[in-house]
Amino acid sequence: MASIQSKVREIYSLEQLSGKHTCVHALHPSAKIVATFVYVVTVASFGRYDLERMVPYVFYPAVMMALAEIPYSLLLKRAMLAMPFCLFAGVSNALLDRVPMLSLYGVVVSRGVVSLFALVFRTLLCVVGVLILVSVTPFTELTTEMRRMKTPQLFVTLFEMTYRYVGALAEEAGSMYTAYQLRGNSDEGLQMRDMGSFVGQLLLRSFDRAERVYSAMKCRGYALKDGCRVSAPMKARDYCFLAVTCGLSLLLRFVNIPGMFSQWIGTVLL
Amino acid sequence: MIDVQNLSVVYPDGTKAIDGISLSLADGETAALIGANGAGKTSLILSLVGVIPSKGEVTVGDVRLCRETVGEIRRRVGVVFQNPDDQLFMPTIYDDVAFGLRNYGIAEADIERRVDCQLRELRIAHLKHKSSLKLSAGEKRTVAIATVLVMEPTVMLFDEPTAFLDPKARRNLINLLGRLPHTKLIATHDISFAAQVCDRAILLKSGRIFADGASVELLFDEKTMDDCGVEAIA
Repeated sequence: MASIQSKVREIYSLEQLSGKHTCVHALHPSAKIVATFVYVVTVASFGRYDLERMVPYVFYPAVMMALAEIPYSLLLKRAMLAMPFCLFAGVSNALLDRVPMLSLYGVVVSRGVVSLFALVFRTLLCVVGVLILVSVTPFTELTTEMRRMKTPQLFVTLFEMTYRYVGALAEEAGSMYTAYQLRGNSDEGLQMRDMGSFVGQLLLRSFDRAERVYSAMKCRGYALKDGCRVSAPMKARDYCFLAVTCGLSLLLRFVNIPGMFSQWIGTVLL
Repeated sequence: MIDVQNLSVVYPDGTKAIDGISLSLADGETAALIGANGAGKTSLILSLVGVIPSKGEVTVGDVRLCRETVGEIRRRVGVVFQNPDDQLFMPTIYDDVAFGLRNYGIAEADIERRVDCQLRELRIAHLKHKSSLKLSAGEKRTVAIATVLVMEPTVMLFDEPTAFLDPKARRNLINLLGRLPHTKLIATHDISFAAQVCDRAILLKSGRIFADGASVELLFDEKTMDDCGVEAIA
């Protein structure tokens, strides 16, 4: 349980990277939000077997991480947290869809296997894209801009609350588990017979804690007036960033550049 | 400075947490709010800033608490919570202290200046870029106070400020509160702390004011304190 707490703290540590001073951090939050949105939507819109067409999208996270001085390993480790969910979905594809699609050095690869790799790759790109956004934009700026961009209030509040309360939940779980262990007679962790009451109590306690945190936020002016926070206007560099990132994302979506490239290579070699 | 008339708080389950309280605090006055567990101290504090719905009148300066003025009231009245962990939820101390100012639309340059100034004043500037997860209880308490002071309130409400503090941190807190010129209402179980910091004591029992008077008299009055369900200073 203590490791859950440390994992959650690791998630928050990403946000601490947002305090750096690089050219990416200096960009306007709106520009970064729109660029990430376009990137995620275009990556997610590819067909289930379009694995090769997604490959060029690796450049966006690679370049952004380099420019923003974000450690690759740190971000990839966080992104891995999302992998089990898509792996479960992808494995069922591989098992059910066995129609041969291509042959690699004599090994027949089914459509299901291609869709498994495409799903994992697509998820990785999307998650890394969002994690980069969180790493280069302070959380308050992110939510302020989301409100300014007329994102539904309910969605922004849910986003803020979820983000804050994950920590509260983990802290409560950690302290409850320590108390449980100290009174337990084994080191085998939480016993199945205690699971129900433990989880129930955890939810009740987290709810209480969440109420107190929300009260503290309200006492300091939270949720009083929407859009009273001010933000600077976008500059020329922000528009340039938007044009380049969104332009490339859309170009790669509508023009099959990897296909053209492989055709050209084939022509040259043959 | 703060005037409360016939304030009542009833929770949805029917529990009467506050039952027709009337009190007023003068400019710069420091009063202790004392009572047993469940006497209504926290409910009173939260209802004064409109976090808990209440009936009755609360006036801070010339502003009366209502739906339209709740923002102004919360700017004028700062609340320091019992558990600083409930109050510190941002990734860094800087962001935590800046949180309230950002909600009120203060320009970022001003925020930076005010936060830096506040952290320096409370001698915690070295914590600026740290996460609250890495602070001691005393440091967390000081940061929680900074998050409120930076809003430049005129009234400060404290809920059990000595909870979780060791003797040294408690002594530092007493010194700090002594330096603050604000009107202060301090809910506490720590009677000797109240005697050192507050000129006035308000005893609460079952959501009502049981006694109200000078700390030097009330807090040493064994019978009154005992009737109120708390221990007097020996």
